[in-house]
Formats: sequence, structure tokens, C-alpha cells
Amino acid sequence: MNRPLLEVRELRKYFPIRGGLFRRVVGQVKAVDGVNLQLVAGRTLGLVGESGCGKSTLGRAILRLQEPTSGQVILSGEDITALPRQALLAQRRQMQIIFQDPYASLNPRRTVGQAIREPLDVHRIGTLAERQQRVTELLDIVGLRDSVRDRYPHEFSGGQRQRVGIARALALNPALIVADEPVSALDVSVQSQVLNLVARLQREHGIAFLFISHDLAVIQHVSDEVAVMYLGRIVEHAPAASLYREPQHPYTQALLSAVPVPDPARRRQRIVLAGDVPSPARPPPGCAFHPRCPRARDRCRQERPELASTAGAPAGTRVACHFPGTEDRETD
Amino acid sequence: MNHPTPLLALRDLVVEFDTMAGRVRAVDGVSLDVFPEESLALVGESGCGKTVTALSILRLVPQPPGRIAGGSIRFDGRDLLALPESGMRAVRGRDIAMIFQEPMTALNPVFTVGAQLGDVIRRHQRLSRREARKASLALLEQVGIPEPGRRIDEYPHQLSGGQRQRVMIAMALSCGPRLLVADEPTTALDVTTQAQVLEEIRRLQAEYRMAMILVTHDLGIVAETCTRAVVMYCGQVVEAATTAALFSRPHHPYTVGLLDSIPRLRETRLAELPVIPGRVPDPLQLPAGCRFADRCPRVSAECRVVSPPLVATADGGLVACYHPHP
Repeated sequence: MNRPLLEVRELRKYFPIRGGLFRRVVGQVKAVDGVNLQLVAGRTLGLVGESGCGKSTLGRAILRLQEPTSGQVILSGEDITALPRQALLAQRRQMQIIFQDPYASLNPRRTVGQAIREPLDVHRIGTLAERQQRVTELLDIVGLRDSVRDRYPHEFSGGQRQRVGIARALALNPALIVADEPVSALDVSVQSQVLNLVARLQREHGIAFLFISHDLAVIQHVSDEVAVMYLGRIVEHAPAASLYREPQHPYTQALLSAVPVPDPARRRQRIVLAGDVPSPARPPPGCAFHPRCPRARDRCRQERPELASTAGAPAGTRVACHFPGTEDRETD
Repeated sequence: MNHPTPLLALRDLVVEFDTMAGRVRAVDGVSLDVFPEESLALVGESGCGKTVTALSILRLVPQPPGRIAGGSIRFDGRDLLALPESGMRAVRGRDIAMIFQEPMTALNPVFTVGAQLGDVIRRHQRLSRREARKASLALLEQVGIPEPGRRIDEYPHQLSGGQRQRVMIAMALSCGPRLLVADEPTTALDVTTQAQVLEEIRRLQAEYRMAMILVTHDLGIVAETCTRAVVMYCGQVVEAATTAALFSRPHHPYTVGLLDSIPRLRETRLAELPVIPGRVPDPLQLPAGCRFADRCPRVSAECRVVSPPLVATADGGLVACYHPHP
């Protein structure tokens, strides 16, 4: 394996909970609680989990859009968590983000041409004519006509706005793009257009993606590897094909079985989890998943499992579970 | 199909909205039947008119700017559009109940769950407060709320999204309606919670022997929850069929495209997902003829002249297309 483009070590992001008369800190929401990740250049890591699991916070903490509480983010060999503000800005050329709602992330008073050019202006790249030329190229890459450059975001459909967001993220030739739920706000017939575009960009431009989504079907179409998050921690990380064929963590299995299948002839065994996701302010002791886990035993309530490779699992699979495995093991 | 008479029959329903840019026909000549105890999916992408159709059944289209401009809605033989508002209020909740996508906005934040449930129950049934509270507790238990005795005195913000939706379902069921209209009831929920709530809806629908209209954009939910489906595009019905037929043999090119293009779990990852090219036309500048023509791989000259009518297919469904898939 090549040296990773991105390495995340023991990353934590806590949000203080304030209360009482003097607004003292009375607790911590552990949104991201000790995450380790590696991403090789030109590959896509899908990060999947339900709302509140910390996946978006992790994406933002990696870019330092939200300052991590502790831990390291190493991009191309440089620890960006240690960089002063000015040096960080320079590093930002390498890493970009695409947001879920492209309408909220585009300034309604600027034309899409200006929006796409903005990163080039900020980093003072080339002459004005060269920047304009680059905008033309970028529009072409994302499948928009050059004639749209003078139009405003409200004149575009959701799918087209997301293409503008992608073009802007591409402007500086980044090595890494964090895509935070980029197709969740789009209609199904448009989702696939945007997913194909992301897959093509990765292939043709060698960009690494951290692709964040709650949708396992969407993740499957773009990812080489998949990491599953639950309550601020990664519970399973595996090559995509293995994760979908032989999920090892009971949470991954429940997530997969909960996806509605558009085929009335196929009735699957569904694992319906009991209860709701616990509050990240008061995560359960031991394995955070144990109150909902069909396999939970005493050890799970006391001892937190670490992400590790496991016997019998496909190569490259790491799972944080005391009793991993594909078949359902009953508790005794 | 040997269904006797439909419980609900929409005929040529037209709903218009006045917008700054002009008048938009959100629903343009929709006809459909819902039979007793069946679960019918109303499926389509945003803006296709599925939610507006559902809202018109209960006459909940905001007016202005909206207006039911034509057609009829018959429920159990009665024309709902001819009822006075007071008559309609009696129908809502008692005969036809509705649940919405976002339960937080449908519940009143300043009253407890028990107060709101009791209120609905007492509006339609002669019960004392104590009896209504007892009935509320039983309902909460039935929809699978853990610790109903504690939850009944809590406020909506203290509940999780899934629990709020369960409270909405309890409220909808409280008067034993014969038709439940569920508008994207699980869209705001996480997949594992969605699975719980859908399971609950399926169970209760059978138990209460209700008919259900499930409005959704998710074909996976249609396949797992409904017996029949109506596909809408640009305010019109383009195809109607049993769920089994729709998924195994879709006739309308839009249905075919939609089924092909949805990201679904597959055995192996595809190099390229099939797509429906282009986008939905602007509702203010609808093309003449078939509204799907510009995106359709089977389009011919005649498609652009006159809109294809909804006609019966050999397998008992309906399709609005001159060149349907066999």
C-alpha cells in the first residue's frame, strides 16, 4: 500500500454542554471520540452512519472547519492540526468540501461563474483571463454549459447547483475532497447523475474522496472502502466489497438489513433494532452499541472494544466488537 | 381485480396554485381508486404533485394560494368537495386520518403528548378526561412507545424523532379511521428507525383493517409496504399497477428509468449507474403532449402533440404512454 494521503490519529471533537447559573461546563458531547483513519490518494472512503453519529463533525474536524479537541490529522505528511492559521490556509488548497445543500453554500448574489472562480481569486492563481479559462474547463468537467456562468444560483435545479458546488471544489485541483451528504437533498433520478460524476472525477482526476452519507446504497456506488460510525467511533472499516458481502459488526448488519429493497419478490430477514441511538452526551459504558445489540453479553457492558482485525473476516476488515462475525450468534 | 367498490375515488382532480410567476397546476387531472384495506403507494419525485394530491383528500391544501379547481373526491359514496367545512372536520380524524413527514411541526410543542392525544380522542368520542387518558395510554402502548406511563406526560421535544412519529400514528389511529393518509412518514427518520416505524405501520394497518395511501419517493418502501402503486410525474398519473407487476414489468419509460436509476444495494458495484437524462420540466412552461417526452428514450413525433391518455394494460394496470414497454 502507498503512503496514505490522509491519516487521522485519535481524533476527538467534544462540544461542551453548559448549564447552571454561571453557564459552567457540566458535560461533554463526544461527537467524535477517538477516530483513526487512513485514506490513500485517489481512493474513496465512504463514511456511513445515522444522524448524530458524528460523521459530519468528523469531516469538518479533518478540514479544521471545526477545531478538533485533540488528535492529529496528517495530510500529505504534514500535521495540519499543528499548523498556524496562515499555513493552514495554504494547505486548504489541497482539501475541499462539498456540502449537502448547495443552495445554502452558494452566495445568491454572485453568479455561478464568480462562485467557481472564488477559490482561484482567494489563492491568487493565474491572471484573470486564466481564471476565466479555468472556470470554462471546470463547467465542462461537471457537465454544465459555459453559457451558465453568468446566471445566479436560484436559476438552477438542485442537481445543477450541486454540480456548481463540485466545480468550485475542483477549482484548486485538490488532492482530497470531503463530500458531506452531497446527494441527500437531490431527487432519485438526479442522484445517480451526480454519483456518476463523483465516480468519474475520482477515476479521471485521481482525487481522493471522503464521502459522507447516511445511505448505504449511495455509499456503495462510490466507495473503495467503507467506515461505519456509531456514537462518535468507527465500529467497522473494510474494503467496500467485503463490507457489503460479509459485514462483521452487528450494527453494520442491522444497518444493511434496514435498507428498504425495491424488489417486492425479495423478502429478507430483517434485523429490527430495539430503541433509539443513545445521546452522545451520555454514551453507554463498554461498547456504546450494547443496549441495542442482539449479541450483547456482560463483557460488552464493561469493556469497550477497539477497532481491530479479526479471525475469519475478509482481509482488510477491522471491527470494534467483542463478538464479531457474519452469522447471528445467540446470547447465552 | 374483484374489488367491489372503492373506499375513495378521485376523478380528474385539478389543484392549482397562484405563484408570483403565474398559475401552476400542481395536480392535473388525477384519477385513482383506493379499495378497503389496501395499501396504495403514491410515488414520484419532488414536485410531481403526490403530496398535494394527498392533502386535497382531506381538503388541507392551503387556500390561498392553492385551490381545488376541478374534479371530485368521493369517500364511501360521499362527495368530500361538496361538504361544508364543519362536515369536513368530522371526516378528518374520524374517517380519514393523516400523518406527516415531520412530526415535530405537526405536534404542538407546548402541550404534553397525553393532552394532545386526549384532545383528539375527545373531539370525536364522548369520553371523560380520565377515560381519554386511559385510551391514550393504551394507544401509546400499541404503537410501541417504551414506558408509555412516563411518556404521556412529556412534551414533544423530549421524544426522539421515531417516538414522535409513533405519537402521530397513535393520534391518527385514535378514532379508528378507515383510511390513513401517510405523507412520507419515515423520510425524516434514520434507516434503523424507519425500519421500526414502517413495521409498526404495516402491523397496525392490518390490525385496524384500514386502507392506506402512502406517499413516498422511495421505491424500496413501496416494494416493502404497499400492494398497489400509482406513479406520478409532473402532476399526472403515468402508471398504476400492483406492486408486484410494477417492479417486475414496468410499462412507462419513466417508471423504467426510475427503477433503473435508484441507488440500491447490489451484489457488485456498477461502473456507471443508469440515469434519466435531463430534468423535470418547469411547471410554468409545460410542453405540449407528454411531459416526459424530452427525457424519454422511446419518444416519437406523436408524443409531442397530444398527451397520452391513461389506458388499461394487459396485466390489469394503467399506463399513459404511446410506446409503453411490453
